[in-house]
Amino acid sequence: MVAGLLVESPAGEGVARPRSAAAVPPARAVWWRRALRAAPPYLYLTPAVILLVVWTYRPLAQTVQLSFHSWNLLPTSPIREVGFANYERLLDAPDLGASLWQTLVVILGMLPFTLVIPVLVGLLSRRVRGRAGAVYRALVFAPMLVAPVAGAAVWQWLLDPSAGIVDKVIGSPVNWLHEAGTAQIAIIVITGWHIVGFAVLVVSAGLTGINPDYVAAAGVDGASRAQATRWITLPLLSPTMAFLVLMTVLLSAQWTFPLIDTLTQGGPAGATTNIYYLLWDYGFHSYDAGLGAAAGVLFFVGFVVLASGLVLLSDRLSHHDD
Amino acid sequence: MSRIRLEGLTRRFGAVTAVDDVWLDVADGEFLVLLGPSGCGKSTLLRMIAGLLGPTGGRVLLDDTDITHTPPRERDLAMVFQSYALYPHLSVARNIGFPLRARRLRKDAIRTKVDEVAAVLDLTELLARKPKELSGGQRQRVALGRALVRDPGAFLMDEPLSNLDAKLRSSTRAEISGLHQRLGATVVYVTHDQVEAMTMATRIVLLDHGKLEQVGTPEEVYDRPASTFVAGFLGSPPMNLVPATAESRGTLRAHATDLDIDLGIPAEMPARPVILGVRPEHLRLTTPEDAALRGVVRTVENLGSEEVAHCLVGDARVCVRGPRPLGLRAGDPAHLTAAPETLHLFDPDSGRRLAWQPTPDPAAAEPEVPLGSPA
Repeated sequence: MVAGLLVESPAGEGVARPRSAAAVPPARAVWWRRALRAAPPYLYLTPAVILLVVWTYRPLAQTVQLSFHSWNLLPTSPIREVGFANYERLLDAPDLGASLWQTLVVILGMLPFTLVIPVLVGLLSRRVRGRAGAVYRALVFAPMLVAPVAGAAVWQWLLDPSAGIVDKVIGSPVNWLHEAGTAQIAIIVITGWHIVGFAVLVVSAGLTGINPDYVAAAGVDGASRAQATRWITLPLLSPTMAFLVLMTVLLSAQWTFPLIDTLTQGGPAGATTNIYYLLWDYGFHSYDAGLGAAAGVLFFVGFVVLASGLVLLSDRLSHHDD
Repeated sequence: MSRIRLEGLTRRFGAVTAVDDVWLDVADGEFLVLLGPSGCGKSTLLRMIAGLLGPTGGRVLLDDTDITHTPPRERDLAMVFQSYALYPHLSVARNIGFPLRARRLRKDAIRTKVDEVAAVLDLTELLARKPKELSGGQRQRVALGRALVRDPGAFLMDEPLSNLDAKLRSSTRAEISGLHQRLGATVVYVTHDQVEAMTMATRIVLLDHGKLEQVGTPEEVYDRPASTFVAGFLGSPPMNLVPATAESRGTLRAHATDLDIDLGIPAEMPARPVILGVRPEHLRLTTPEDAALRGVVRTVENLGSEEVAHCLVGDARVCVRGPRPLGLRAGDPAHLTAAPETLHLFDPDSGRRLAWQPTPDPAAAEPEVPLGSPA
């Protein structure tokens, strides 16, 4: 009989490790080598950051600064510090409330063009494929390529109460651009005509991003076309729709600006003066740079709050497709 | 449960014929596997059965109803997609309940049925989760649950296991097989994985370039492949296929460079070219004197329980598979032989299997194609 022991076999190792060896210290490169390796991303970012600083952040800071001063835009006239006087004047003026209301009207009026029509057109045109689809999308997108001012000039003729084709077609002499009620409608419809192609394109892209298996699966599962749209496609499109709402809320009033300036100059009687036109009016019609800047700062803060809320909302919606 | 019949089903995409005149009869309760390499038209065929794709020719019949132009939702078929297609915004419970919701069942009826299916598939704990919070295997089971929830006429499955890791795949395979047996369901199952086909199918349909190559039980397609395509697709490594000449020298023999093997048919026949097929596991090592194939070992692969030796016989590559150790090393000479009943012959031009058929009347003219097969 031979005496012995059952011995555990050691875990495999690539190389024999000296028993006595302590933990091996991690290799560390010299500091400038590490800095050099970390630098490229920052270098790539630099041009964009410089442009942002020059064209966005510096003007923003200057606007804030200007909002506490009084100045008439003449290089020769002095800039006086006035504290919060510009903000007080702004909040006391009745124009502000009216223009906020007009802005809200524009946003609500734009939603059919930026959300409802594009979603309907997007869903209906899904089955237009290949070359026909490309032509169709180009046609819908075309108004976006027309310069707003040129478009406005044409619409001015179309809406002319004596010779315009719009009144001829509906058979009643409405003075679209010079009546308080209709001027805002005209501005909204023309802006909508301009922007709807872009929104359709966004919706089409959103629909293309949805895996066709979902709708196919819904069909096999027994859902009708309407049910599949309601229960599958629209919920999966919600991040796109949230994006469009965000764009509409933040940018509608800006999109209308060239049209207002060309067609109504904010009139009649301020009926089409939204906040952007108002602040432009303060600065460049009344030459009250301080007041314009104060309005700008106020709207900026307001839109930051609004945008944050909407971004949060769209983040919650966009957990969908992965 | 239902029977599915395909009559001359064809689908063209422009100049490409993805599915070419397919005739099939899937019996009630059968587990039919559509097997083939990617691009062979198997998924297209399944999508036509599901109604997601219209055929350019032919008919689809469910029991005795022509459903060729019936929309998918009226077909009474359930489908499991390769991507699973779980609705990402709905919870597991709502995903499984979706087919019932679409059929306007009452909420409590849906819940009862969903709980039942979830219990079968071990998903009860996960009912409140969203698909993205599930692992691959769990997603797969939810997809299965959505198909199971409404006793459909047949199940269509499009590579349902291809996104799972190897271990999970083999356990899920057993699960699906068990489900099929328990439900007695008709299943049409698409895969490119021969192991899935061999283990699960009651019948295998091999497709190549949209055409049926062979339809048969797993044993039939493995033991008597109808063509070189089938022979070269099944098995790992697949059947060795060596161009040779079949000729009578007392008995029928196949010969080529470094190859001379008895086909076991004592008969007279004029010489003709053939493709000789032999499975790697049917080749045996033998003495130099008895060797029917003489080659050189190129490499030897270790599969754990077995070894595969890749040899060169003349110009042909021949694999030998056997229990480890095989006793071969790279560079060794390989002396191989195989029993006549394990040999297969194919036509070199058409690739179809050749079977031996004695001439019925010696006075009659010789048959057009002299057929020779020992198997």
